[in-house]
Amino acid sequence: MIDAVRRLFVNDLSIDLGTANTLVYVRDEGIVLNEPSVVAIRLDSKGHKKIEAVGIDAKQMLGRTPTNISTIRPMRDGVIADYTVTEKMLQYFIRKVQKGRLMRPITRVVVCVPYGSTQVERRAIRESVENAGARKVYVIEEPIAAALGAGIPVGEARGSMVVDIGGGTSEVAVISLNGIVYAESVRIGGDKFDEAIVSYVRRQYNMLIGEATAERIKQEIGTAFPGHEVTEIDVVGRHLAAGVPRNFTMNSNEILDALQEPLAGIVKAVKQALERTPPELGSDVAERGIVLTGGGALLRDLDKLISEETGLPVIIAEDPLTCVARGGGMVLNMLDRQGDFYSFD
Amino acid sequence: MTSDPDLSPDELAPGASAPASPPSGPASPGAQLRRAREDAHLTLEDFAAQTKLSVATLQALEADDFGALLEPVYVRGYYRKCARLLGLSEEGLIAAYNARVKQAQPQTPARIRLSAGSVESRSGLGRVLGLVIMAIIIGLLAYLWFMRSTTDPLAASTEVQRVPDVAITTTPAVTAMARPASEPEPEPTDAPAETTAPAAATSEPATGAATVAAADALARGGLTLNLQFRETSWVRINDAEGRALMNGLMNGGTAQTVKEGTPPLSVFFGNAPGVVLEFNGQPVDLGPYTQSNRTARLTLPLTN
Repeated sequence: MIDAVRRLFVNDLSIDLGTANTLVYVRDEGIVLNEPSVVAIRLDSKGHKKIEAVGIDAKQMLGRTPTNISTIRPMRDGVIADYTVTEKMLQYFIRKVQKGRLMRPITRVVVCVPYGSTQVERRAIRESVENAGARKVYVIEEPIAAALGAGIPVGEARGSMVVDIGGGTSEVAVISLNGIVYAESVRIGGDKFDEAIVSYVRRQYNMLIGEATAERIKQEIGTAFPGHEVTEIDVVGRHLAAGVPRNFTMNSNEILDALQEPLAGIVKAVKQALERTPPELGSDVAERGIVLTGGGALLRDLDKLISEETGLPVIIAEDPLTCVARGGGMVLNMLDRQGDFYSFD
Repeated sequence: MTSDPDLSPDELAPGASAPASPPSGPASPGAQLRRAREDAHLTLEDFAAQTKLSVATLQALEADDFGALLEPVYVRGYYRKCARLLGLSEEGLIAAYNARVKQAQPQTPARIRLSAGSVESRSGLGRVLGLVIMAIIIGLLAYLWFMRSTTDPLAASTEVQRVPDVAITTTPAVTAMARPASEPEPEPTDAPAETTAPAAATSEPATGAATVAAADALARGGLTLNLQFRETSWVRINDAEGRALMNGLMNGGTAQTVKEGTPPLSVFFGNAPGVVLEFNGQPVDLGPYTQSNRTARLTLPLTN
């Protein structure tokens, strides 16, 4: 009864404002929105900017727009690159989630920020969420949210290691007793994988492909560790010398080759985190293993790569894409508990 | 070497003795693992080297020793890992595991570092809800009180004073029209309004009709202000709520009556000597309030 009344007036959201995708978790409902963080903006004849599309619709326009429409990805490297557009996008998402409600509820939002983000970047994220219609904004660090969402018991006096590979950043964190013991954030993520594929194709094939194509290649045949059967994909790109679209075929080993650099960066961050972890916690991690979350965990055999490089068991969390948003949702549930959490800034 | 969820317990490799007698249905995940591993001709050590899991963990997994294993999130991860290596069905293994372990919701931690917009030890939910409910209650009470205060006198007058009211309206009328000289013996004894009404009739026979109206309004619990303008005068009357009951220039020779408003009324006359004022049927002498510039400012009812 009290819950029903509360739900009428208060709407609690957990937002994973990611570089690639934005996810919204509604308390008591679950993940209700999962859309690409893309906004299409139309410039009208008077020079006014107007939001043309947001999310999935905008992503379909990516790279296919006429001159008066531009598609923008307002988030870069896990932080806000375009403040106003981010605000508009959030506003759109929050309204979409709250559509059909009689009155505008008091909206409380838990939003995640990368561990390595600066205070300025955090403030920008918080303020843009506030301006998008949230009454109260709580900021939580992504590794903690990812660990919570993966189901890791973060409150125990045991070390757990989470590697969250997002679109813009990868976060490696050792967590014990609800806090981050050591964390490392590198600005390598799905986007860097795509860029690596684009530049590899340009280098090796003298062909130009778009980000969307690169992403498709990565998702379909991308792999992080050799050993699997080799798969192939047909790609159409523009030949740089001839200037005309051409067909060509890529295989998974080439993608593995293309991804070497960003993958090495992630492995290095994991190793560095292990090096700097206190030995007691390190032994806990060795015993239990490293948990992979985030969209990057879906790259085939990434767990195997990290496992081989570190010699530790690596497991992939269930539904790795939504871990952070679900973890934020768990934080929402504890917002109402008295005095259990504290703030920092 | 594909998934074998329909592996019956008697087909299990020897030694796959689950601690508890496994429930009927799919084979225990440990038994499935062990069988798959043996089919692949892998020793426990080889398997451990491939998965990077410790031999002890693998043994616990194969023996279905869930007590020795860690949290479900890790165990499920181990199963997935092993299933992929051995070519088993991940879902089958995890379903078998879930069937044997009661699903415990991961407990939410006690405290988490959060950064809020402002420092807040407790959520505003209770406070906000409390405020909303309080506002609703106060609004409701105010509304009820307001309704009572406006309807009550009316209700009282209609119920109790209806009969005397009729008497009042008739008596002075008769007095005024038939016999200008007063005859105050008949009814007027009960209500105070009745005593004033004939009194007004006696003092001002010319305004008999107005007096009747005044008495009538008074009986209904309102107030009556009779204004006779012998000369043109500016007049402004505001009631206690700040409402302007009358505000303007009144020509000489006219009469005005004010019957509404919440007392006390603040009255201002621009040309006081030209105005004859009656409040609730009783004449008010403006003399003491009149200034040298002929204006008068007073509050009704008069406070002495």
